[in-house]
Order: sequence, then C-alpha cells, then structure tokens
Amino acid sequence: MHSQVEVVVSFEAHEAARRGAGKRVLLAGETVFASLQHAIPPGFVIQPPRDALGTLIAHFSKDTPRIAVGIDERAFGTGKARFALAFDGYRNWGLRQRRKGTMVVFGGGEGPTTTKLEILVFVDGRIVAVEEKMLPERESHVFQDALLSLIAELRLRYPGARFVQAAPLTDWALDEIEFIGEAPLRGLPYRPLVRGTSERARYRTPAAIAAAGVMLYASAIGFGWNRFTAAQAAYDEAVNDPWVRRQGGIDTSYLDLLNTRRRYMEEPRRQVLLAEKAASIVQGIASIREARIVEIRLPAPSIRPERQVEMTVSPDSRKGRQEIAADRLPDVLLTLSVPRSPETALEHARRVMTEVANHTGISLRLVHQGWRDAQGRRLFTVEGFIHD
Amino acid sequence: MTSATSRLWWLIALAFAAILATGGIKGYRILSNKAGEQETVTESVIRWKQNYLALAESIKRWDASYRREESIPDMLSLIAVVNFGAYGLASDPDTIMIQKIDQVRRGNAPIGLSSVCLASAGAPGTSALELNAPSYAALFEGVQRLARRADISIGSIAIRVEKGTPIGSLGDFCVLLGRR
Repeated sequence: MHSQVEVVVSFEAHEAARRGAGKRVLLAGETVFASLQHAIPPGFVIQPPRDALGTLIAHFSKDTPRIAVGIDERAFGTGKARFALAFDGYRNWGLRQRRKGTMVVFGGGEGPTTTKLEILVFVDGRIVAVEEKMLPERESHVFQDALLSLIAELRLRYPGARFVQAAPLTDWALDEIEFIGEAPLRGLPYRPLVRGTSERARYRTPAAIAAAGVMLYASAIGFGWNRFTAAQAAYDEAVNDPWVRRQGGIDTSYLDLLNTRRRYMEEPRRQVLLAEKAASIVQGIASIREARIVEIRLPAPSIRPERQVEMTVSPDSRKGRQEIAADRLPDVLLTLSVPRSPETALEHARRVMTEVANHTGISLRLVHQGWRDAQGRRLFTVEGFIHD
Repeated sequence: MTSATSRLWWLIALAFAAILATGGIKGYRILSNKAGEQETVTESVIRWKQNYLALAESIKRWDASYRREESIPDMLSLIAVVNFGAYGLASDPDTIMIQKIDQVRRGNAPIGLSSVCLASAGAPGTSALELNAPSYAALFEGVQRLARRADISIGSIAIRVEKGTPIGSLGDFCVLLGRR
C-alpha cells in the first residue's frame, strides 16, 4: 500500500480516520456498501451508482444494471481527507480484464472482530453479482472453515470460474485462488467525499474546462466583434461627418484638384517680373538725356531671322564676367531713338549702348543691321539680356 | 463512474475547450482583420478631411482671387471686372474683343479656370490689348499693378510712343474666371 494511504475497513477500529485531514483514505470492508439488488441501508450515505458494464455506451444506456453504493456516514466528518473505494478498484480491474468466462474477485477488509468480504462476479466482462459476506476475524480458528465453505459454495454456483483475491485482504495462500495484491487499487482517484447520487461533482472539473472554453470562445468573438463594430462606427462617424457631407462626400480627385489649384496659385508669375523690368529699364533710359524709347517689348519676340550679331555691350559692373551665351534668347527688345551724330553708326551705337547698359544694368546686343537714320535722328534696335 | 469514463470526460472537455479556443481565436483574428481594414479606410477618410481642412486657406484664396464665370454675363461686365480705370489706364471698350476662351490646364487636366483673352481690334501685331496713360510713369505704375492681379494673365508687355503718348500693348491679355 502507498505509505500515505490509510486503509479504513471499519470505523470502530479506525477512529484515527477522523483525524485524517489532508490524507488519502482507502475505504474498504465495512465502511462501504455495494449491491446490485439491495437499497442502501441506514447509516450509509448514498453515492453515485456504478455501472455493471465498463463501456461508455453502457454508461449512457438506461438498461445497464447499476450497483448501488453507499459509504459509512462516519467517513464524512473527516475533514479534508480524500477518499477512494476499494470496491471501485475491484470493479475497474475486473472490467478491464474483458475476458470470456466467469471470474470471481474477492476483496474487502479485515477488521479486529470480523472480516468483511466483497465478492464481485464477472461473466463475459460484466458484473453479474455483488455480494457481501461476513467472516470471522483472520486470526480466528473458524476463519479457514468459513472461508473454505464459502469458496465451495461459490464453486458450485460458478463452476469453472477463475478465483482472484485482492488487497487489502492478506493472502489466503490457497492454491485455487490467485492473489493479485494491490493491482486493482493502483491508480484509483482519491477525491473529497460528496453526498448524493448525482455525478455532478465528478463532472465539475471537466464541465469547468468546457465552460472555460465556451467563455474563451465567447469573449474572443465578443472582443473581436466589439473591435469590428467600433471600427465600423468610427467609419460611419467619419463618413457621416456633416462637414464631409457638405463637401459632397469623399472625393480624392477633388482633393487632387484643390492641390493643383493651390500649386497653380503658388506658381511664380513672370508677368510681374516683366512689368517691373520694363519699368526699371524705361526709368534707366529716361535718365539719359539724348536717348528716347521708341518701343520696348518684353519678352523679346522670339523670331530671329538670322544669328549675326553686330556688337555686344555689357554694363561696367559686369566687365570681365561671363559673356552672353550665343544661344541665349534675349529678354527685351528695345528700339531707341537718339539725335544723329557725325560718328559712324556702330561707334555711335557703342557709345549709346554702353550708357544704356550702365544705366539699366542689362547687357545689350545690337541686332544685325539694327540702325536706321530718319528725320535727323538715328534709331537703334537692341536686344537686352537681364542679369539675375 | 469509473476512472476510465472520468478520464474520457476530461478528454472530451479538453477537446471541446480546445476546439472552442482555437475557433474563438480564429474568429477574433478574422474580425480584427476586418476591423483593421475598416480602420484603414476610416483613417483615409480622416486624412482626406485633414487635407481638405489644410487646403481651406487655399480654397478661400481661390474664391477671393477669381470671379465666377456665371457672374459675368457680357463683355461690358467683363471689362468692368478688369476695371482699367482703377489702374490709371485707359482703353477704348468699343475696340476690345474676345480673342479666345480657353481652359487653364495643369498636367493636362483643367483646373476649373477659364481664361478669357482680350485684344484690341486693329492693334498692331495680332493679339494685344492696347492701353494708354498720360505718362510713362502712370503707364508703368498701372501695368505693374495689373500684372500683380491673380485673375489677370499677361503674356508680353510692349510699350511704344505714338504722337507723344505712351501706349502699352499687352499680349495674351486674359482674364481668369472660376468655373464649376
């Protein structure tokens, strides 16, 4: 027997069992009542009935015979002890054998004055009889006779049966009986005692596990559902925003259009620069007494019939800097009128252009054959390059 | 109840719980994925609104800059919109004509702006609007201010003197009008 398990076969003999808080107690002998036919006698607390068959289907079948089981009610004041029934051990062991034929299992407990035998008879893997027999105590000189007559009687009733004897009975050492010791008692679950026939207590933990599963499922789905509905609500709120609705709903292309408009309005406007430059050039030339503007055009018309250039003049402030690139288009076209002078047209042009360049800060280029004499005045057509 | 059936019940309960747990987790994943997708869409709506709000200044500026096309029924009101007089410039309304009407485009898409281009009939060159002012100073002052107007686009500026008065000739002079 396991060292921590206390075997209790009768409460008269084992008052100690009542102290046994936290212990594991195996109930055998007189402390347990089991019967296929009889009701639980007074003094015993009814327990869930045991099936006479070991299969799962039998467990749910109404036709399966059940064994009424009771426990001595004195077992119930024993604090937190956990209990197992030796009877369950015999029953389980017997059903596990699953063999054809008949088998008689002797179990029970040996008290100081009596030996109580629990006899289970298995036929083809099912329990057909559960009997309780009272014999004298083991040390009594009549014990052997009573036992042998009992065995003989059973031999008559169950001819050819296999006879098996189990703990906590001590080995009778009879040839015809196989002693299997504690084999049936191994692995018995020890549990707190519960009153009543209901098996609810047995199902409590599995039921709790199943319920936990249901809870987990429900809360996972519920949590997910909450997230989902919250997301949906947030979307509805965002879309049904009265402000958004007033804009005619979500329209990405409209947003793109607005952005294009914003960029359009931020584009630099050349016309402002043109007007300023025109003003500053005209102002610069106005300070030259002899020169007058006939025409000024910004930007210069891009029609360039030929690429020949008569002369290029830059303002003094830009002397020595990079020349105007040959392929650069002029910014300004100027037609200037000056009083005619005896100089050659080109010399005259150079003088006037240098003065204009210095007054306006732009580089000038005389257009090919860009001079003309008329009514005592000389007209120069000049291209201007504005420096940044 | 035998310990075998008891163990079976345990197994059934555990299997049941395991199935429910995996099912629950799977269901949660599906739902939260859906929620995530929804949140992305919601975010884009919110971002849209934020972008829109960020553009509020620009929308206001647009509306303030451009007169609506439908508010200008005829030529006279168009010239009134430009209001040359306010810039010290004079033009002969009788010779002004609409040269072309275009859509302002950016990236090949119209941006909701009509460009109504004006020219003086008989002006030298092809498409210029002639303006005059008593002096150079007044002419340039007026043209510079006109050029700064957002709803007026000027392609080129030419100034010449005719009989002592400076004449400004604005090429590709267009009035920009907002449209739906």
